Amino acid sequence: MMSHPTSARQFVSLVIISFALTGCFGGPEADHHESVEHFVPDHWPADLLDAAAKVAQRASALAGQSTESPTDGSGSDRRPMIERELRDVVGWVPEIAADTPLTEAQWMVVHEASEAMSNRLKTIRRPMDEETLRAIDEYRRLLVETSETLLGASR
Amino acid sequence: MSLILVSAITRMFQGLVVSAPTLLVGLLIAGVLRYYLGPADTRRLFGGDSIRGLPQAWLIGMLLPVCSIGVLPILRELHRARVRPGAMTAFALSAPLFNPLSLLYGLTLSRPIVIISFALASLVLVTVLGTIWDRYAKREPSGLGGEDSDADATEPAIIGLRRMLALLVFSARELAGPSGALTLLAVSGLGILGAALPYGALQASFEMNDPWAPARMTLLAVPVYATPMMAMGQLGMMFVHSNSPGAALSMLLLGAGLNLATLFWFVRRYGYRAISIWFVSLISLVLLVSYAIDRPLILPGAEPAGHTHAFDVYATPFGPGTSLNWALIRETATRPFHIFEVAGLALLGVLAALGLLFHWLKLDETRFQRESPAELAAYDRVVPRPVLGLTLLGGLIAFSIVGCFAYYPPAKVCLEQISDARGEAYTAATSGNVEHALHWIKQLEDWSRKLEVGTFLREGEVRPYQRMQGKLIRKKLELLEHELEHEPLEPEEVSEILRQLYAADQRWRDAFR
Repeated sequence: MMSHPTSARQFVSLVIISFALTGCFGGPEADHHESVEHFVPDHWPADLLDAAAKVAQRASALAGQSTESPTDGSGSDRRPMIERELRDVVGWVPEIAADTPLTEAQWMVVHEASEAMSNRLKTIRRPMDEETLRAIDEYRRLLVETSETLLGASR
Repeated sequence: MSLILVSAITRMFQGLVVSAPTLLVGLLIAGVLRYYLGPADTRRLFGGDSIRGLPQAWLIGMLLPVCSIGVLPILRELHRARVRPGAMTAFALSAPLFNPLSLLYGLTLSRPIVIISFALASLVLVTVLGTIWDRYAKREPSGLGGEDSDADATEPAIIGLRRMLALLVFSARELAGPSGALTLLAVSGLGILGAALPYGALQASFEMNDPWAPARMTLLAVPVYATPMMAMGQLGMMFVHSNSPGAALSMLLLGAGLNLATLFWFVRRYGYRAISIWFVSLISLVLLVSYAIDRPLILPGAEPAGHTHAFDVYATPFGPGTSLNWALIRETATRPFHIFEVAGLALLGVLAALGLLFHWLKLDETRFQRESPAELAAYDRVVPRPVLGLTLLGGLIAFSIVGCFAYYPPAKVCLEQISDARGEAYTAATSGNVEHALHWIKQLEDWSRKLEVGTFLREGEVRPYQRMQGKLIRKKLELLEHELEHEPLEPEEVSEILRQLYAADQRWRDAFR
C-alpha cells in the first residue's frame, strides 16, 4: 500500500471545505417550516369545466382572436407564458378528472386525449395553425361533455 | 446540552441504523469474495482487463443489495484481489444506487423512462469515470496494488465448516476494525450536515425552475449518506413536488453512490492528487448530466409544490427554540425504523462485540487454515471455490429478488394493511391526535407505494388510472399532514380535507380491487 502521511490532513481539509460550503443552504424562511404551504398555481383549474374554459381562453389568445389576456401581466410578449400555461392546464387535466366520480373507462378517454394534446403542444406554431386549433376545440368539447356527464350522474 | 452536538449524534445514529442491513450484506459479500471466490476469480467476475469490465462491474453493482457503506468492505476486498481501479470505481459508485428492491420502487415513482434514464445515466457516468481512472491509474503504477496485493500467493485452503467459521471471524474482525471505522466516518457526513444546517433548511432549495438546484444538490450530496431505498423515497418526493430532475439525479448519484468514507478510502489508497482528478471528473460529469436532463425530464403540467420535506433528514432534527430533553432526543433519534433495520442493528452489535473479542484474543482466520483435504470424510466432496462463490453470490441475488416479493406483497394484503392504517390515521386526525395521525399517514403513504410495486411485480403493469389514483391519495395525505402540522390546529380545515380524502380514498382502493 502507498503511504500517504498527509492524506488524512488533506481529507480533513476537504471535509471542512464541504462543511463551509453547505453554509449556502438555509435561509430565514426555512427556519419556520410550519408557515410553508403548498403552492397552487393561479391557473390551476377548479374542475373540468374550468379547465375547458382555460384551454379555450389560452388557445384563443394564441390564435390572436382575443386581445384579452388570460393572465395578468403587461408590457412584454406574454406568448411564451400563455403557451406554457396551456401546456400546464392540459397536463393537469388527467389529475383533475381522476378526482371525480368518473369510471376508469371514462377517465381513460380524457387521459388519452390529454396525452395526445400534450404531445401536440410540445411545439406550437406561431401563429397557431388551423389543425391545432381544431384539435384544441375538440379537446375542449370533450372536457365540457365529460363535465356534463358528471353533472348528469350527480343529479 | 449542545444542540449542535445532539443534532450531529442523532443524525449519525439514524444513519447507522438504516445502514445496518446492507452493511451486514457487504461484510458477507466481502467474506465470500475472500474465502469462496478467491482473488483470481474475483478479478474474472469483474471482467478482468477486458472492455466489458466496466459495464460488468456496473451490472454486478446493480444486482447486489448494498448501500454506499455496505460497499466499503467489498471495495477493500476488490483492492486486495487487484481488480482494476476503473472497475472498482464503477462498482463502488453503481452498487449503492440501485438494488432490485429500490429499482422496483423507483419504477412506480414517475414515468418508468425517468428511472431507466437515471440508471443509464449512471452506466454512462461509471463507464466514463472508470475509463478516465484506468488511464490515469496506469500512469501511476504506484497507486495500484496495496498492502494485501500478494493476495494471489497460495494460501492454505480452508474448506468445509471451518471456512464458514473463517467467514464469521473475518466479518466480525472487519466490523470491529477498518470497516467499522469507515462506517463511522461515512455517517459522520450526516452528523456534519445535521450540525451545520438549520431546521428545514433544504425545503425550498431544489425547485424545478431554479437553475442552481442541480449545483446546490451536488454540493449537498457529497457528505450525504443515503441507502438506495432512502434515495428512492427522496426521489419520489421530489417527483411529487416537481423538484428539479437534475437535482434528483445528482442526489441519487452522489447522495446514494458516495459518502465521506468512500472518498477517504480512495484518498488513502491512491493519494490526494490522483483522487483530485477522479473527484473533479466525477463532479463535472454529475453536473453535466444533471443539467443535461434538468429541462427535458420536467413533466408537462408539472406543478411545483414550493417546498419539500424530503431533505429534512439532512438538517438538524430540532426546531428553533426547542428545549432539549432526553425523551425528545430519544423519540427523534428512534424515528420509526423498519423491523429489518432494527434487527440488522442488533446483529451488527453482536458481530461488533464478537469482533472486539477476536481482536482481544488475537484470533483471526489463519486459525482455520489447518484442515487439508486428507482429513475429509469419505462422503465429502470438495467443490471448487468458484462454484461455491458464484452459487453464494447468485443465491444472494436470488434471495433479494424473492425479498422483493415479500417486501411488496400482493394487492389484497396491501389493502388489508391500508384498511388498518387509514382507520388509525383518519380517526386520529378527526380527534386531533396529531402525532398518532402523522405516524399513520406515513404508514399509509408507504403502503400506497407498496401497493403499486406489488401490483407491478405480479401483473406486469400499473394501469394509468391506478397510478393517478395513487398520486392523488398521496397528494391529499400530504395536505392533511400539513394541515395537522399547522399551529394552532384548525379542526374545520382538517375536517374539510378529510371529507375530500374519503372520496379519493374509496376510488383509490377500488382501482386496485
